[in-house]
Amino acid sequence: MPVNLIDIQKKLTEFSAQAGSYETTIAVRQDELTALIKKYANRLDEVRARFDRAAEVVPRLRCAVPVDEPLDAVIPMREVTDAYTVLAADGSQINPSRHTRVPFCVINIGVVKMQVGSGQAPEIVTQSELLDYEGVFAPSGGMISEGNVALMRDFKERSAMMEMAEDVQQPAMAMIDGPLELIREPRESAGFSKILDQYLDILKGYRDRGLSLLGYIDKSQSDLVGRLLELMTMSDADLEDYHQRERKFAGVGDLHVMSDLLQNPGERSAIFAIHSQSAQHFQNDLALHFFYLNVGKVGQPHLARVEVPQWVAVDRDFVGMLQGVLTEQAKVLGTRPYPYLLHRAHEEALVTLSEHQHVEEMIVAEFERRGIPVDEPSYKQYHKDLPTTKTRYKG
Amino acid sequence: MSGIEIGRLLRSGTTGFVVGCRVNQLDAPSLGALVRVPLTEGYQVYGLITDIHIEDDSLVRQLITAEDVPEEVLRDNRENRNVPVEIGVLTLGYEEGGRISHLLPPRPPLSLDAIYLCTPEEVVAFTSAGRFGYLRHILQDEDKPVEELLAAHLRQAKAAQEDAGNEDWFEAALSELITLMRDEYQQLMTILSVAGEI
Repeated sequence: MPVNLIDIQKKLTEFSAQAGSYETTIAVRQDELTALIKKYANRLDEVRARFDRAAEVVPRLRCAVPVDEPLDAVIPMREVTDAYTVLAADGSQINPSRHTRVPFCVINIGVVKMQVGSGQAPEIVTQSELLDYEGVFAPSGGMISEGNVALMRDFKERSAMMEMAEDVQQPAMAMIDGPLELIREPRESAGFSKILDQYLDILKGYRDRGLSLLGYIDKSQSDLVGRLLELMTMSDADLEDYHQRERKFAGVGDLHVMSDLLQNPGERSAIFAIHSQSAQHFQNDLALHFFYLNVGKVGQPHLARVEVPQWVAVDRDFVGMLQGVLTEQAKVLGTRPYPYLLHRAHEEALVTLSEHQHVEEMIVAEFERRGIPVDEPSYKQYHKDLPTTKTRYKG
Repeated sequence: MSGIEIGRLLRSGTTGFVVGCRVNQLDAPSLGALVRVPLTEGYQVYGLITDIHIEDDSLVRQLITAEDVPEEVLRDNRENRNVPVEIGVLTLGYEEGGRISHLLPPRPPLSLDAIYLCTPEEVVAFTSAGRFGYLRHILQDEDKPVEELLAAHLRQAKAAQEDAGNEDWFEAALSELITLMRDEYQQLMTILSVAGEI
């Protein structure tokens, strides 16, 4: 038996009691936050002043910043036009591994373009790139990290989608799964700076084409609004000692607070700007903003966090349409609302285990044909790949 | 080559094979239709469509829960996604060197071989060859709705034979069935009843 279920069973009572106690604590914090959002809903100048002060004294401050709508605003969606274009991109990768027979890395990108109202099947493009052999190795030796690969994948997702956005019928919007920020490690490397610069150029390309880009985050764990409200409970002296990791409202995500407000399908929260060290790379028109959106049904709200650049955020009519489009897209997946096109992009991009093995076999075959030495898989990998079904001695 | 390509072979054995096709190819094949798989020059296998099977997957199951599925999403699932439509075919015979046989073929078709619907001329050629020996393959397949398959096949073949001026073919086919099924009275009565409606 892989897990000693008797040991687990013994702990269950205590574990459940701990969970109940934790939930009670969270509920109290949640009530406090809900009261705070009401209290400061229309006191934006006061909130901004507190944020400005905190930004001066807390070097790595990460929180939401109010723009021009009440903190507890509830904005209904606009009616969606009959014809518009939606694009979605997603990516997956085969990370280089010392356990495989040859070092290699593949990035696979799926982009889907749907012309809503056309009655036509969406267009699909899949780009599979085997990275250059030397590109698999870091300058310092060893293989590039999973973070490096994810960074390249994120960048390629956005650039591939823009390539497919030529001559799209307006209005048009493009979405990715996850935040628009490049929050991958290692942020400080030279490679990151180069990709970031290229990424900012891509974002400008979206803007110049009039193509709205958004990041869709399902089941967000973000607490940026909570962090902002927490600042309102602190004195100047407290701010001096503020530590991001010891938080008064720890454990209460923004979803907890916003789900009380956004009850009807298509409703969004106020739009907030993002203040963080990495968000500082996105300036002016590209500055990152977000809002919460109810993509669920009547009586079954389901909130997503949506990130948009400033040039989208300021066009409130268009944001109203984004709300409608995302709600419509999520409705297609019925009882588990999530944008249909994002799911399709994920399906197209996904690299399965068998595909992984097939690519490795292709590379090994080519190496052997050319007389290039091929290593064995690591013995750890060999044993992990063996069938895991346990057998009993029946003698 | 003549006839409409309906898909390509997924897997096969001596007695039958399974064809995969795209949903937009699904207009052409029908239950009981005669098909052929050209292999090498002068050699092809004939069969009868006995089953058309559409698999689901997790996305399709989720889409079922939506109140309304937009046309673009329907077409995406039918044209872009790898929706597995499988067509089961019962092997009825083969042709080699211009000679049609109602025995099982010496070797089955291979993966990805293209499958075509038989044209009326090919239906006439196959069903006129020999003395209805292929009917026993259909009658032996007890897992299939034999009566329905025979009815569909007789309807298709009768029309093709009559267009070719062979007015007696249908009666001869029924006589052969009566002979082959003399010990299966109940099933024979059902088939004759169905045949009466053709």
